[in-house]
Amino acid sequence: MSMVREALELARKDIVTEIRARDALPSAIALGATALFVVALSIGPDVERLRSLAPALVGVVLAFATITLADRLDAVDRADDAFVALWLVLDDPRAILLGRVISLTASLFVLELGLWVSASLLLDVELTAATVVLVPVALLSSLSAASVAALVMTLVGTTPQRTVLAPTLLLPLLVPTLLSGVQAASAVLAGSGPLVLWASVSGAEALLFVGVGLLTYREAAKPA
Amino acid sequence: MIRGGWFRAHSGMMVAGAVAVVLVTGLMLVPADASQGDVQRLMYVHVPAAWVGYLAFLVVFLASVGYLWRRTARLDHLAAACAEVGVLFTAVAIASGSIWGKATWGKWWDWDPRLTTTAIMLLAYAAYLLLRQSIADRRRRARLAAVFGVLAFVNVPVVHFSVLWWRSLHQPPTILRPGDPTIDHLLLAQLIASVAVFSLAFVWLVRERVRLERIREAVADV
Repeated sequence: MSMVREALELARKDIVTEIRARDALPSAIALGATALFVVALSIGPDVERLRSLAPALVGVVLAFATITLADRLDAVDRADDAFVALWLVLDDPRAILLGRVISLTASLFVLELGLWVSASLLLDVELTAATVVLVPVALLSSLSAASVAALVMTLVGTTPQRTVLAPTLLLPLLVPTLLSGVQAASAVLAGSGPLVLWASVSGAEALLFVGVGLLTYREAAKPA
Repeated sequence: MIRGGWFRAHSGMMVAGAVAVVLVTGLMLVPADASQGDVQRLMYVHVPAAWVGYLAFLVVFLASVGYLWRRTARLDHLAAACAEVGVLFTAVAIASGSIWGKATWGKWWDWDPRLTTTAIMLLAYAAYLLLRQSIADRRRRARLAAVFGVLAFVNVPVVHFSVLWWRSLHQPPTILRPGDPTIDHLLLAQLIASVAVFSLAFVWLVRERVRLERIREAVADV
């Protein structure tokens, strides 16, 4: 129980830091907006096509934003040996991972909702009362992406090649998350399709990654 | 003098000989498939290579779990060796599948779910090898690689289920399916022999790679 309490405190610290510093999320939003415009421009002005590709576009942008946000959170914790201090102070160091998953999920969730609003404005995606299901779908895919990203950043955080290794390790692992998120969102927008199946896959991935993370975190993050 | 005697000293040659025999029989001697013709012979390379890739990545997963549990350096060496051999055989499976695809579908690559997920799985294990390469400290490398070895396995079920989740051009199972295999018995025997010999080659390569790693660490310790 103390681990959950400590994790919530750490997540609150991350979120308050982000609100005050406005550092990682604005960068991720700028990256997302640029990617959305560049990809849409390269596809061409066919609105029908763009609308049908919207879930995939949102998914891909989210995947890249996940790398940026997770890297930033990790860098903040590692600056000035803050990570070592956290490791020594906490009753259960796994709270660091759990806290990071919570704060990263919150950032990604806000970003994904923003991306869907942008998609409705730019890609002619109709957001109606029926598409409100996109909100829990976005939350699940954000949680799933955050859980794997937080763990991968723990693995590469102290390596000299972290800027190259982070996307190289993370992107293949994000594939199931990306697939389930895109398929679930497509089912919501189409009004039919195996939404429950894909949402369950997202949820299962989040559980799996958080579970593996909690089991292995002490080994993965132990300071040198 | 190599420890283990004559058998160990000549095991490589025996395995290479067995591989040569199944390649010659598969690519030249057994009858061609009635509908696909000679191009079907590539299956005697493609299927065993894909099988060995799966097997290798399963061993990476098991050895990684084992390492995190027992902290035995041997399990770390085993995981590293299997990842290298798995990447090699999966690349062979993709390349042979691509050649078969050009002859059958008329193109080198198709964005088929099985092909695409297999390529992503290959990249995940290539990333595993990059992670190992980037960490100098032996114990830290083993720890972090073991965690990633567990995580990377998440893509393996995706590859397997991809043909069920999406409409796929990839051939459905012909042997591991309910009822009789949909393949001629002679061709089936050749396929089973190829799988057995490729599996033997896998065991030999992994054993040698583990031995090499042990020697390398012993030299580093001097």
